[in-house]
Amino acid sequence: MLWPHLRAAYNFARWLVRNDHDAEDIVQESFVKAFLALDRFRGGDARVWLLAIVRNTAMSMLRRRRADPMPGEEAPEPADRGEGIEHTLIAGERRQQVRTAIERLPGEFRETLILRELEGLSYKEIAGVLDVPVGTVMSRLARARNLLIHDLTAGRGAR
Amino acid sequence: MNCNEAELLLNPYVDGELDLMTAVRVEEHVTGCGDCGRQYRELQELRREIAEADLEFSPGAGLARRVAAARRRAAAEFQPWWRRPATVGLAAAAVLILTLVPAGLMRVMGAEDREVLDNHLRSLMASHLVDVPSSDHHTVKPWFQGRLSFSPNVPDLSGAGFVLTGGRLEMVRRAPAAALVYKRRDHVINLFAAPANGADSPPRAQSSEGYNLVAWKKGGLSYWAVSDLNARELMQFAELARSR
Repeated sequence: MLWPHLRAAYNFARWLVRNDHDAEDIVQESFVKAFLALDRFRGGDARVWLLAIVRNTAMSMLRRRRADPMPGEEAPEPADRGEGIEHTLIAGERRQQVRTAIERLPGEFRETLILRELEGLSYKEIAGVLDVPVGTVMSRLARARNLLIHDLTAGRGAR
Repeated sequence: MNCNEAELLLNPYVDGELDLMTAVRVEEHVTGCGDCGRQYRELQELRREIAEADLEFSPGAGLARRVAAARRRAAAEFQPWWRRPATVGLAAAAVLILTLVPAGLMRVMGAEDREVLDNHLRSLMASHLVDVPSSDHHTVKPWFQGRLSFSPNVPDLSGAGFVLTGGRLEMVRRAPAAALVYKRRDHVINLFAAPANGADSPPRAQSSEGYNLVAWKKGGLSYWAVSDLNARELMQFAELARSR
């Protein structure tokens, strides 16, 4: 029941913590938690349930980190953008710009956008994962997309 | 509808979250209003770029095994003794399934899936991909009226980079069914819809002879998405189509 969602769980975790190693740890911990709690799962969408566990696990990891910061565990430096883009933007470069722009989004906007655009979740399902009202999902998504449009238009203008 | 209202509804509109009446009102406003029209196109363009940016991270090959092992350890630690063998057995079964999945052995294709795949292949061979060529879901959906005993959902997925190119009639289980044709880059996706019995079921993926198939049930209809598109993008397509 949970295995089909391994990819979704990993992708979501990877976008939350932005590195492979932590993402794998989070997926492992989440699956163990989920399997142990399986008899408490009462119907509904297993994917939403699992992604909520992934998110909680990631959040407590990030919280631990913040309380006890260790070197090298800060968020990755945002890449320079808009500078030195003199040559033609090939497709790959544009893709990288899109990726970077999403990585730079504040966490609550990034997670909402990823669940919508990459996992294809409905507003109601996203609200379930993030434990916020549907209206909040709607406004975060609008805000995230506005930021991206602004960011990516600026990137394009620097060509 | 004024601009303030429309602006608020633009995101749920592109996400297919609005009821039909509200969606029509947003659509009317967006068509008539230059500023909101521009915002709408920007949103669509952004969604297209995100869909094309290949943003998904895939887990490494070892992760499934690692998770299964951790689960086994945890099960042995936390479960009462009489449940251990069963749990360990389950974990072993999971590992077995995971080893078999890449080989495409998880599921022998059922007769129905086979039939749908044949329909897909036939649609590519003959010069008869569509009966009603149109990229407009408002044209394709009504076309099926009077031709089918049900009204198939014709989702607009252009924002995610799946372009509707038309629809045609098909036969599944010797009954008329809808085939909706989408394109992603040069890949044709046939989305079949036919009346079904039983409860809704989540998408399940299979593959055969280089073709991928994702099937699910929703609202009394069976759906199959078939394409030579890679499994990941086809699953994305299926999940989008299902959520609309």
